[in-house]
Amino acid sequence: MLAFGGQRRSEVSLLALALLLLTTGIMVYTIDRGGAAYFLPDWAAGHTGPAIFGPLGDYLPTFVHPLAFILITAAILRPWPRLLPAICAAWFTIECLFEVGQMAPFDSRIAAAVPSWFDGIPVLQITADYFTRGTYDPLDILSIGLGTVMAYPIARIFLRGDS
Amino acid sequence: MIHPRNSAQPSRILWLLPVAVLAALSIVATGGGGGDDVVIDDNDTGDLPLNILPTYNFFLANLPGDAGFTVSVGSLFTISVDIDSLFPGSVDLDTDANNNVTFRSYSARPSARFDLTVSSIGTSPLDGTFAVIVTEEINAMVDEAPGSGAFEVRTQLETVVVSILSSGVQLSLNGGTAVVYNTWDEFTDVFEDDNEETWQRRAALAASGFEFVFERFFEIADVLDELEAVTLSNPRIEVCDMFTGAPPNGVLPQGDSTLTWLGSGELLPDDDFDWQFNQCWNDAKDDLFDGMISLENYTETIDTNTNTLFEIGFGGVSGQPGGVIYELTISETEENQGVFTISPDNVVTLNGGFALIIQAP
Repeated sequence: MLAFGGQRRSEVSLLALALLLLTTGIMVYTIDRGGAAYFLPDWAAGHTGPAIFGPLGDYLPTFVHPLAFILITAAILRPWPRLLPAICAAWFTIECLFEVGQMAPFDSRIAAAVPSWFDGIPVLQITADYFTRGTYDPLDILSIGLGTVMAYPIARIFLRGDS
Repeated sequence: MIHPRNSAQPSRILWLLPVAVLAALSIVATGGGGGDDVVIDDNDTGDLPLNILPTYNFFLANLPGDAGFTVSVGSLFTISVDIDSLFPGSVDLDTDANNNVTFRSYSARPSARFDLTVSSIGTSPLDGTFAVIVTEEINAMVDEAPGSGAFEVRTQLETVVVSILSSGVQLSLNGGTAVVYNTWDEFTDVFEDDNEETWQRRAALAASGFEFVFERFFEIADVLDELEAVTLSNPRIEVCDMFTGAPPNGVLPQGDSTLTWLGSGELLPDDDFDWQFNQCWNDAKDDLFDGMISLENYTETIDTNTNTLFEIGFGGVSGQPGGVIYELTISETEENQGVFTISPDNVVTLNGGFALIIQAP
């Protein structure tokens, strides 16, 4: 149980908004990218319908991912609202580290350090591929930054509703 | 003023753990969110012709465990090759209507590094360990000398910068005066010249090591597109080149090689192959191959969205079992007035090996 009354409402609202944002991100993969994500089922792969997000779809997932997880974390840490800047900074750092990890020479070093027992475990088995095949893109960093910046006032608005 | 009671429970912080795990997994599972997603599937896509891209990345890695890659030259010296993390690069290739692949060129990426340890029988100024680090992308056509790029050869006291120019090779020790060789071959021959400076010989050895590793790489890469056919007519026996002239005593003028699939049913990931060489001449260089290359833990992954070859090779980039494992000798012939011989000092023995993965960019 996370909280009670109005406080609980703000947490639920934050979590609901985060879920909506993550769903939007999944829609990018399902609709615009033809099911191009490891976790999507086979029936989603090969979807050939029209793209609905257009060029925005290239960076929407990297925008909504930090935004959503900042909101989730803000909901969990709602009793400590002063941590919000630190939460934003932490998620920005984490997301950027994953992106920078795709840049040479870090990509091959990280891939070589991935333990072999990841092999055969769903999702974990493509960790090395994530780094070696993924492409570092400064615009991804920009969209992560935008997501982080957007998250701060949104979370503030919801958390202010507590007081 | 009445403040609402803070119902904070430190235990709720524990919720952060699954959230962090979920975040990390979702980043990896989507390829990071940009337009560079990882979409892989080990399942075959049936009878559709497979799309093969014109360019692929490649990665070389040490075999798992302590098994390294050693090259012994006669009774003179042994060189151990230790790949630092992954040795990354890319290959350009042509594909014909039957999906037969011809490799055209390759490059080694900056930061690619391997360490060479030289152990002589007796003593040699070359003995010891030194690092070979690519500092500018090295580009080469297959079976030709590199045409551009740079690498450094580092010991504890020396750094030799080797720059590959269109008109030769330039060397510089610790930023000193440049030494220029007109051709790549002239440069690599320095290794065997006892009258040359040790740092120049070491740099030449590094260049030869680089060339040697890529010769081995393409020997294996060239058979990858034939493995499916081998499973249909297992084993595949091929006669090797015919030796022109009278071969050295006790050696056949024409041997054979046998590539055997050790699986059954259909070709699957983790299958193994044995590639046996029986006095097999390589006419291009008058080299004689004898022994075995084990190709263990076949890897093949298809991007099912586009029916494109995503990954192929032996072993894995993260210490997975398998790879290309040698128990092979390569003998160089010498000619004296039309008589060919093989000196024991010209027999190169390969043991151990490396993992080799070719992956879509």
